[in-house]
Amino acid sequence: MDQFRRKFLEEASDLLEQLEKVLLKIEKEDIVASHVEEIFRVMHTLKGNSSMFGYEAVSEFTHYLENIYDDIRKDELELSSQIISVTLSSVDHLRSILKDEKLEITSNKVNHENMMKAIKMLSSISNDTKALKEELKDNTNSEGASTWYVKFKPAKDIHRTGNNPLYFIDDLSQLGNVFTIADLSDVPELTEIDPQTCYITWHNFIYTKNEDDIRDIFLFADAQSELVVEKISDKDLLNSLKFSEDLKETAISNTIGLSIKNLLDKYSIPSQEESTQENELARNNHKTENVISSIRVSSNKVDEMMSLVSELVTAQARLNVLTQNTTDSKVSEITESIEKITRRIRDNSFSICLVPFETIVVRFQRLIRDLSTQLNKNVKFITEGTDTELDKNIIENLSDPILHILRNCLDHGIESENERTAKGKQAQGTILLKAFYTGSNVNIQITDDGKGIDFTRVKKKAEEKNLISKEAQLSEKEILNLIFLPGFSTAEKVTEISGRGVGMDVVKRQISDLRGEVDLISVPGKGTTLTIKLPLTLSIIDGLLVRISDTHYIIPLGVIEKCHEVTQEFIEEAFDDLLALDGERQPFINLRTEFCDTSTPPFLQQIIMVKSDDKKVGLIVDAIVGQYQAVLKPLGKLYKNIEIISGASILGDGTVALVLDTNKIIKEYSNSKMIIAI
Amino acid sequence: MKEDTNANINSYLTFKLGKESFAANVGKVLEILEVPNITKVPKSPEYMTGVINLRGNVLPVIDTRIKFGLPKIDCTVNTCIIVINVEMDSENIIVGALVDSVQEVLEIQQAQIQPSPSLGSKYKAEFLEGMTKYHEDFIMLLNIDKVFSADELILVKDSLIS
Repeated sequence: MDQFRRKFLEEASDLLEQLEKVLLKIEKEDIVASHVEEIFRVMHTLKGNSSMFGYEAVSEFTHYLENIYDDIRKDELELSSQIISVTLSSVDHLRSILKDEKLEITSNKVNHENMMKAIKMLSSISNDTKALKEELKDNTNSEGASTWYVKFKPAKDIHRTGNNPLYFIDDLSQLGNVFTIADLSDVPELTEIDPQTCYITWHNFIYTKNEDDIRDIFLFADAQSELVVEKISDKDLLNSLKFSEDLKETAISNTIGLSIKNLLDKYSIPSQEESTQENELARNNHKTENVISSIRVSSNKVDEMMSLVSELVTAQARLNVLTQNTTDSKVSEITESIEKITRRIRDNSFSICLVPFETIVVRFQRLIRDLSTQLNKNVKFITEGTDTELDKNIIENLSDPILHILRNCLDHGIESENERTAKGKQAQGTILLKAFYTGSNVNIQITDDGKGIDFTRVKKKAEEKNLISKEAQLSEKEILNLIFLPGFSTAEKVTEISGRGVGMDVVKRQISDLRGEVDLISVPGKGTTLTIKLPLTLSIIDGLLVRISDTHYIIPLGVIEKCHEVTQEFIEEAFDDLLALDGERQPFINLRTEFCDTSTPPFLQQIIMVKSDDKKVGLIVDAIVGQYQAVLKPLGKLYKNIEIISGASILGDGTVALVLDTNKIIKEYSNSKMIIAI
Repeated sequence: MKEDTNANINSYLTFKLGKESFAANVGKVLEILEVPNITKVPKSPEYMTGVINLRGNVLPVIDTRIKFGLPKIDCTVNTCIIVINVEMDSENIIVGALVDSVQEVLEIQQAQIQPSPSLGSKYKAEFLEGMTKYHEDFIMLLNIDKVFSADELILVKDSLIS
């Protein structure tokens, strides 16, 4: 049961997200009938599911909401911005009461009552207008109605989907005068009855105006249910004595199905045949569209598959090493084909782990909407490239930093409407969120056309906070990077929205935890662009395999600029830790001494130039083994203090290679140098 | 359920460090390995020998000799790695313990276990579950969780066992 509940909660949160998305879409674009339909459908599913799982509060709540949208759908109520606002806050409320179904938390309870009141108020408006319209309708449309035959044979498992077929019949009776015959001929002997199966067919005769109204009622009966709507006559047959008598006779006959058929033949208009056939056809088409195109898989399973694929890649590497030593052409042939398959499995499983960036965009839209109202700023939020796909683990951890950046854009970046017009800018500010690929990286760019970052103010602030000395000469880029220092916040006043001083340094740390980089460009008066560069996946990196005595290390290929071959003599002659390379003096770190390896270095060594925060530093290693696709494995808790190693990878021969975090090595090295200098 | 069964096991795996015998509850022991190629992790404490490849997973290896304050020696034929399950901050982690040699599995009843003397012991009392006598030898029963999750060395005094 718990497992089903979990699934329900999962689905409910998906539905709410979908709802939020549509609502925001409506607000931005025009009200489109299909959007209203979608909202209604989501509400209805949510209502059904929640009552099935005993979430009474949720189902009651959604019931009222659903009513409102039902009215809007039928053009009996206009979708006002007030309704959208209420619905949006309802979404928030539903999220919280899904976690607290019994309304045990007082704030939830109070909230619940308030929300219910607001919704009931809305629906009372709708009732007023409805009454008015109904009057109109009665006046104009009592004529033009006709008698319909409606055959409803629910799917056998209709009860399992949480539907009650009687509700449909009840709803039908709202439309007009109805005569219903229940066909019990399919009901088996008592001993064979499955209480969860529906055996009954209902034959209804109704006098009403619109065929669509009838079909709408059965909108939520699933596709396996059989529904036939046939026009019998333009007259109100139910009032005719003869028809009523015939009906009664039919109702008590033993073969209801057959009698109904006879009855229909007797009274119906022949020309209708065609249209029902068409309807059948349309319904069949609809059925084929219903073929499942995607399935829900728990993320645990995906994670497990990923780790298995990683093992496969490792095993493949070992097989390759073995095959290199054999001369048997058959073996190498098989190895080669296995290698190909492995690569394809790897790529495929990676793509399974990728989710489109779109999945978190709704949250951002919501934030911008709420904040811009709160701050009274006019902002247009544009998203581009939302179909760009990223590893799901990255996506999950990306939402908080981006929310923070957007908050900053709105609070500090975009000016108020008056300020903007005074500066000759468009009154409406723009924030652009763009995602795109570059090589094996995904970039996420957030651009605003606000006032940009004030360099002098940033510098002054940093001086005040003793983050830099007064005499320091900094380039614009360096000044911008001050923003990422811990304890830096330029807002004079701590506002609710941003400026608690835990800002950008946390963003930077969260991004670098994902092995990403943050780049900031700002033009005063024109706006700011912040680019986040992220790896496509967290579990495999392209690296350069190097060796220092017997130990193998992997340096991520992304940070490497260049490699040089130098002699031991050349290194020993180096002055002040600087080496002359490419006509420039470059700082270097001898990893052999840094890692306390006391063995004698070889005559020829390699210098690998890596970049870190706009600096270039050379790392000296014994030899370069080659490029290597490393499956990252964590070093585990015992090594959590070793920051310079970001993980390990198992090589083809079964030994373990360590993945170096060059940024941390350089940082640690310069810190230790500073202590010596003091 | 699992913990209960582990706690009720009275079998202990004994191993030697230098001349002294120690024992670990078999409920904690997953397997015993020969010493493979160990990759040293730079800038780690001396007792952390490095990492090995255990069927595709990275397993940290601790040199129990150094952890217990004994001088480091080269591996012999008898040197092996006991793979143990350690509970650390209410999380289970798997580590390899490098020991001089593995002896045997003994049945030691609860009644045979004596509390370790708090005075005059070379080792901190919290790391020992107790001691037992076996063939004129004293075997120290280790509290595996404490021993291998502690960052410090186990020895109280600076004196080394000779």
